Amino acid sequence: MLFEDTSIAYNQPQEVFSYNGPMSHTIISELGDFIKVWLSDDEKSSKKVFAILIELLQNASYYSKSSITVHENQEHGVGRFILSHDQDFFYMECGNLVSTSTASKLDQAIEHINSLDHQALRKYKREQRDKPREEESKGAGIGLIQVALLSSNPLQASFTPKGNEYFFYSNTIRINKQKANTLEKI
Amino acid sequence: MDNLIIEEERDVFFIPSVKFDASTGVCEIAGESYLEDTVNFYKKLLSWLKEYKDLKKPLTFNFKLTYFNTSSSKGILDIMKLLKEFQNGTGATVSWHYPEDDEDNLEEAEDFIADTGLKMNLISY
Repeated sequence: MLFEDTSIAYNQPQEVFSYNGPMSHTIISELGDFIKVWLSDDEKSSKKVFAILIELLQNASYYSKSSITVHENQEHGVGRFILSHDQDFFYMECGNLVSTSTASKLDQAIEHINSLDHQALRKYKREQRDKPREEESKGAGIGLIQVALLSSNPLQASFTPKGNEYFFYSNTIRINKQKANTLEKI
Repeated sequence: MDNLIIEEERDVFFIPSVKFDASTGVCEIAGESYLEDTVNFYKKLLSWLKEYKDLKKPLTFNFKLTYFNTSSSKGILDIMKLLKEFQNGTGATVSWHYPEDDEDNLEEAEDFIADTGLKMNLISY
C-alpha cells in the first residue's frame, strides 16, 4: 500500500496510504505501528496522529453498519481510512456506513464539537466521560471529542446517502505539523 | 495481602505495567494503555485498591502513562475517584509524571484533577 510519487506537486496533499476493509484489532495495530515508524523523528506529531488514528479506527470498527467476520466469532466493522499530508498538515480521513438516525446524531454532535473552543471542549469531554458506560457502547463515547481536542482543527464531516436507510459518513481530520521537515522523508 | 503485578505488553494491544505493593503502599501504573477488555482491566486495579483501603495504611500512587485511549481514560478516572477517597481518609500522595513537551498529556492530568478534586503533583521529566 505504501508508494512514492515524486510527480505530485509540493503543495498538493500526498497520499501515504489508504485502507478499505474490516477494522480488526490487528489491522488497527499494524496501522498504528506504521505511524510510529513513519513519524519516528517527530515525536510530537507521532503521538497526536497515533492517538487520533486509534480513536477514528475504533469508532469505525465498533459502529460501522457494514461488517465482516474475520475469524470465528470475531466480527469487525468495515471502514475506509486515508492518510495524506502536505507541507503544513497531516490529513486523516476515516469513513464508514451508518444508519440514517446515527447520521443525524453524528451531524449534530460534530456541529456542537466544532462550535466549542479548546477550553469548552475540555469541559465537554469531562462531562461526557463522567457519564456511565452505555451498555451498548464498547468505547467511552468521547472519541470524537478527543480527536477534535488533539487535532486543534474543526472536524470536516460529510454524509453521502446510500439507498434509503444508510449514509456513508466520512470525517477528515487536519493536524498541524509540529515539525516542518517530515515531507522529505517519503 | 498480595501485591498486584502486571507485566507491560506491547503487541496488538498495549498493556501498561502495574506494580501495586501492599507492604510499602507504593503503587505505579506506567506505559501505554490500549486494551482489549478495558473495563475488566481497571476493575482488577480498583478492587485491589479497595482491599488495600481497608488496611488503613498510607498510600503513594504514581501515574506514568505516556498514552491511553479514551476508553482507558474512564478507567483512570475511576481510580482517581477512589484515590480521592483515600485522601479524604487515611491519606494518599498522588503524582502524575509526564514528558515535559507533551502538553496534551499535562492537560489530561489537569482535567482529571478538575473532575475529582484530587490533590495530585504534576511532575515533568
